Amino acid sequence: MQAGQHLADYSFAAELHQVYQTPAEPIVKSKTLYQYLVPYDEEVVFTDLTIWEAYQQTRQRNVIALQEMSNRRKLQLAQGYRQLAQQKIAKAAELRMLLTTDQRFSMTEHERLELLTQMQRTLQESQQLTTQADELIQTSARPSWTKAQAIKAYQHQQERKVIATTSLYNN
Amino acid sequence: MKCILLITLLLSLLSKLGHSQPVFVLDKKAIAKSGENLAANLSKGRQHQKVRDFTLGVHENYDAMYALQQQVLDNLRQAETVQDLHWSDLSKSLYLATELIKSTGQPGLEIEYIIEHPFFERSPGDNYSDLFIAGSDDVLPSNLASWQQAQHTSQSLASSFHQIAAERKSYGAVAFQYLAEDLMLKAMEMNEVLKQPDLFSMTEAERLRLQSDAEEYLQLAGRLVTRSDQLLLEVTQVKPMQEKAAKTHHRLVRSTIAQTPLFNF
Repeated sequence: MQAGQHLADYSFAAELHQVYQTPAEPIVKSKTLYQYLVPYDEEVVFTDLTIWEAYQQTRQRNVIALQEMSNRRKLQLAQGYRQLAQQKIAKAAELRMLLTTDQRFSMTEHERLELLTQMQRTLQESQQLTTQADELIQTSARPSWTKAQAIKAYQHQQERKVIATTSLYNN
Repeated sequence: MKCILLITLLLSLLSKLGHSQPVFVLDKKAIAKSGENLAANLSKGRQHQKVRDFTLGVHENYDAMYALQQQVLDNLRQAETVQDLHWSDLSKSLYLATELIKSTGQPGLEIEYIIEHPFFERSPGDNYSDLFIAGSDDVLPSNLASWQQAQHTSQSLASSFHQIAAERKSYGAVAFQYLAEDLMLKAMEMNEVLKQPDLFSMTEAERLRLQSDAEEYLQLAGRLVTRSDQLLLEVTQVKPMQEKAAKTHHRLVRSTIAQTPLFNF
């Protein structure tokens, strides 16, 4: 869950990563991020097509990097949630055993009983966490539109290469 | 006392004057009796002394107990052990939350772009009639030119509101990112600190509950981070601005085509 860790892998969004990672005043940082990400900059007047296209391309790359970061973070979170869920079950079992043992913990009976109730809740939370992890995996399992395009293009390239090197007649 | 002394003195003087020879009477019974009385009184006095000492002891113990209780209360009142922890530092959350909520109603507002927007400065009725071209009682624009003018105002107002919302979303994303980092720091710190012996005086139940609280902080941090990502992604997809970008692209392509000669002679 380290912030900005996933952005570092995308070299084409190095500037965005820099902005995202450095701690700054919230307002300053949010304005900079906004300028990097927003689809249209009101303050700049574009008269040249090539400059405009370059601008759009950098913006698009930033968006791609952001989407990938979000997806990867979701997967990481899902894994973390699963681990947490397992830990919770283990903890609840251990605590139940220890709480009912004599002379183990020094606490009032009310606290003892309340802890037992809380363990019940812990088990429920564990279930919820597993569900959450599944949901996160579902939302990020499919690649984003841009990623899908890139993958498809690569596949086409490979197929064309194979077709080009296959001889039509085997004499 | 003085009177009695004087009287006895006088009496003794009188007796000396009256009888030159004093008479001694030895009453053995009376002597024995008074001796017994003396012994009984002494033992009683000793018993009383014991009782008094015992009472004093009880009193001292009671005082000590009272002082101890007072000391416990005073110790519970101390905040030195917790005041330096990140856990008890809520300033970051407070700052970010208030910045996010602030509106024009408050004096001393620091976010300029919220004040600047006409949406928050004018009356809601004006906003309504501008957005939907005419309010319920207003007359519709009379000719085509003013109709187009009104339509343009409405569109620009709506798109500028979208822009403000996007800016606030990006602020929210940053705020959530910072909050998540803060929460993670707090959770880790609490986990470390709770394991240290002799730092806090609390029962084990309280300790365990605090640990589960730290775990909840971690989960909350995860949720905040995903929310922050989502907000940033929403900033990249503002509908009116996307339309503007498409229009600009179209305009630029057309102007480039117009300027490109077909044949280079």
